[in-house]
Amino acid sequence: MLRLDWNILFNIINILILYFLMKRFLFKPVNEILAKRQAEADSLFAQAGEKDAKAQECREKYEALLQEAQSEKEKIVSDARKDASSEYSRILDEAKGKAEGLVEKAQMDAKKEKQAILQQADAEIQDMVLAAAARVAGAADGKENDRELYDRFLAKTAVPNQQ
Amino acid sequence: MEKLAANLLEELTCETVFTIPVLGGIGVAESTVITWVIMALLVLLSLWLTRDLKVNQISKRQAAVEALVTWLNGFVEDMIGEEGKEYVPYLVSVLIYIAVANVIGLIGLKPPTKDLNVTVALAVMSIVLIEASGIRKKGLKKWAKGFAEPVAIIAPINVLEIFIRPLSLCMRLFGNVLGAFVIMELIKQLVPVGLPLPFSFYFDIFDGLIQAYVFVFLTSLFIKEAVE
Repeated sequence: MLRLDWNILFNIINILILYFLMKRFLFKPVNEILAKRQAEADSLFAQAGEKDAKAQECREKYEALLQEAQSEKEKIVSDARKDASSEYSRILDEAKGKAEGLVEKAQMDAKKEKQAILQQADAEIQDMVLAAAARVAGAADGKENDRELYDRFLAKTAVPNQQ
Repeated sequence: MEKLAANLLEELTCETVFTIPVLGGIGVAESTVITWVIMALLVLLSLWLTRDLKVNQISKRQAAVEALVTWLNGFVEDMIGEEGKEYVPYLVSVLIYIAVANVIGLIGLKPPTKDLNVTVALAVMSIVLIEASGIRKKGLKKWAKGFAEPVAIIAPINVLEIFIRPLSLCMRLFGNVLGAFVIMELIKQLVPVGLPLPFSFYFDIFDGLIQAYVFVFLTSLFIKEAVE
């Protein structure tokens, strides 16, 4: 029932062979595939981290750009507003100046016209007075004549005034 | 009754399968041959399990083998600690071998671990591995000095441990498997139908796996102690 013999040696050899076989055919392939998967997972994680950093960088860049655009926009708008208001006041001033000139000129023209009319009227009155005086001097017959002359003068002067 | 005794004795003897005709004939025992069968089985199973392994979209077979190997490795690594990591494949191999050897009675073969030759071989391997790991880790001088710790007076007891440890390892495994085998044979001789089933669950499967675990657990514990 109990025997101890060469079979101890055989079994030691068996165990060693089994160990090497297991190592070669079970542990090695499984551990290799596990290591491979680990490496792949690690690289994926690294890639993800890289992508994340890149995305962050892009976002920062984009935000800076946006900020820049915003400030530029504000600057342009305020410049435009400033330009517009100065242009507006310039145009307004110009218009005002022009209008004033026009009004002055018109006033001046009106004055000149008035003067010319007055002068013409003066001349005409003088002529009429002269003519009337000549007639009076020619007719010279009393009070009636004076009245007639006066009426005629009035009638003559009233016409241009009414017109 | 005499027939029962004869049957039992026949079941218990380790038969010589064939004899190598050198040095006056070396008998190759049944246990050695059954070990070859187990080895062949394990290698074929490994080859089938590890066929076309992939990184992604793995098959159920691959998931199973990965889980099994990871579990066994982690299981032994927990016992042996970080220092003895390189001995894990050997211990897992031994664990698988003893577990299969102990439960092979289920398919009608005699468990090889019922033969003292096998358990002695396993125990010799274990003690060689334990001491070798100590020497590798500490160097020969420090390893030799380790026997005189914590006090010099217990050095003889520490030296004795070199023999006691493998002896207890091999006798525990051998005794448990032989005992279980004897009880199972007795039950089978008395009531061949039905009754052996629950007992087989305990003696063949549970006890067999527990003994495989105990053997590897103690070996890894000793290695852990030696490399610390």
